[in-house]
Amino acid sequence: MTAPREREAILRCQDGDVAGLEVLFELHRASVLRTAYGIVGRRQLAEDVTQQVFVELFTAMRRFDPERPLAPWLYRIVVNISLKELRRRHHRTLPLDEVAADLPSLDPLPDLIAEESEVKRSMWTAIQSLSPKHRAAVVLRYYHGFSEAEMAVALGCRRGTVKSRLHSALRQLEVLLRESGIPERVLERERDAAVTCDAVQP
Amino acid sequence: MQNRGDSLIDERLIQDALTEHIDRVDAERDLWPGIRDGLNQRRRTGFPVYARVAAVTVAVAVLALLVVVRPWSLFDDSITPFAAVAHAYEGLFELETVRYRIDGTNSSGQEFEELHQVDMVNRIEYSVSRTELPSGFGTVAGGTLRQEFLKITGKLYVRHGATVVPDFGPNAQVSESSDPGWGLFPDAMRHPKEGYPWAPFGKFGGLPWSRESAEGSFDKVELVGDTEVDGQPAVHYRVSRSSAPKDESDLHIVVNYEFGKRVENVHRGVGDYLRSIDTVDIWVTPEGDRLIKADWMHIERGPPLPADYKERDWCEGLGEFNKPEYTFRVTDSQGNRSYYTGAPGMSLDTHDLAEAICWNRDETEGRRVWGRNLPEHTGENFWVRWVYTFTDFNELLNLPEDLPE
Repeated sequence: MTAPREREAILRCQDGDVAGLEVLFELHRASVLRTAYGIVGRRQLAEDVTQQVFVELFTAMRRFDPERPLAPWLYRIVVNISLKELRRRHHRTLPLDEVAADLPSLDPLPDLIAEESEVKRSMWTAIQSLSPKHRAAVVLRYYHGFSEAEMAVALGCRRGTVKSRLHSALRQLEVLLRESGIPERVLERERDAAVTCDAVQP
Repeated sequence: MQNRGDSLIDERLIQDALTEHIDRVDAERDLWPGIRDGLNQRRRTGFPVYARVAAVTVAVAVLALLVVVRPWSLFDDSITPFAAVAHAYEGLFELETVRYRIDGTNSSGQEFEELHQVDMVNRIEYSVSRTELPSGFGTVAGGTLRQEFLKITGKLYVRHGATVVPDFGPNAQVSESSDPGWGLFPDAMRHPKEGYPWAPFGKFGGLPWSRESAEGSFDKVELVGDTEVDGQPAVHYRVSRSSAPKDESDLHIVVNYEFGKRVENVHRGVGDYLRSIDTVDIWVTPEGDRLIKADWMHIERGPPLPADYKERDWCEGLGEFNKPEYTFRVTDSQGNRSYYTGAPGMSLDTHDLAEAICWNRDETEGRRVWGRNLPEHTGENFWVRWVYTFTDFNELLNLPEDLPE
């Protein structure tokens, strides 16, 4: 259900009031930026995408049904513009070093944390190595926690396609992680920890 | 969350990696001024610059075509050679929004309503090619295809992992002697007297059609007529089934839009929540006057691809062009295979295409199609686009110049 503030902002946008967009921008700015970053892999490009998204959002808002949830629709725009920009700029997959250089530096970490961090970095690099469409699916699912139905709207495809795309992405991630040389014991520990956590969940 | 199947990957690892990396990101610059400027530019221009440039280019090109091609010659039986005008123009345009409103009543009497809004943020690329086709190419069921292929089939239905049989619809005609060749893709290749392709803007309409479908699926389509939705002109269709659903119903809606000389479509499956629905009303509305034409709709349900299908029935291509049913097996650089079914004119838009093979389901002998190890295509992985010129198909299949008679 759309929050009252968001709904009011949507209605204002539909009346052509840019102030409404400003509210939506404040509400969703960070999330849109981060989603775009997850797909395009570069902050500056993600910033450009974010700007385009809100311009497009305002332009298209008059056709939006305010009774419907905004998020899937909004993220569809995010995905579309992100993919379009990647196509337009012939974006290549960044090596880990370049990706890391685009991020704030990390403080020194204890060995265990560093090892876990290495796994996460490798996972991030692997995600960035996926095709843009697979990457978008992974971001929507595992960062936003979208359901398959919501993903279908956001990705503009059928739920069956969502499933197959996710499945394919996971398969590719598995291969990429193995190739990245992450020690088996680390992955085993992560998996064991997950099993333990799952076991205690109701 | 537990591992998926035998996957080594714990999904929690993915969540953690994404969260750790993405949550750190924040904009280094103030994005709002740029957004405001973008809005102001949109307001000043109405369209993005590229769209205006494309529109002007199209207008000039169309005028040039009219002068060079003399479209009125299409009204007589003569065939005008157009070889000199290959790739007359191409460019970009932007289509905005398509809406479907679907409602119905299920077998329990419960009302169902859903508004589908498809935001076409993506640009539509279009091109028009006028290429003289090789001799002998266009023999179709007793007629001869026109050599000036302006269009554009739009007659391609793609479903991942399943066979979808293209249907030429209730208006399908094959090779009327007075207008040879137009019957191959009848819905898209409207007779010029009907306004297409010379006056494609600002109109929409069309006929739905259904193919013979599996038991229990939506297999009846009725054109109710013109109406209005929210003050906009709309075409109203009613879709129903002739028998009770046997399993998951699968209502697949395809609306084609003629965009200039090119057809794009919006493709939506709504089957997931229509299992208990018996009747569905569909209104197709244009968005303002920018949506060019909702040309047709179709309802489909394809049988699953037979397990042994991929190993047989190669087609040779040319001699079977008048048969609409082709299946493409596409292999990417990692060896992953996908299957698509489509009609002639289909193109694969992928940049990771290692191999594409097509075969005709009616063939019984294994013969390979021309063209393997295709050149790199720009675009997206494993997405099949609707391609509308035989030029593109030639490119896809890498057809030789000296096609046999």
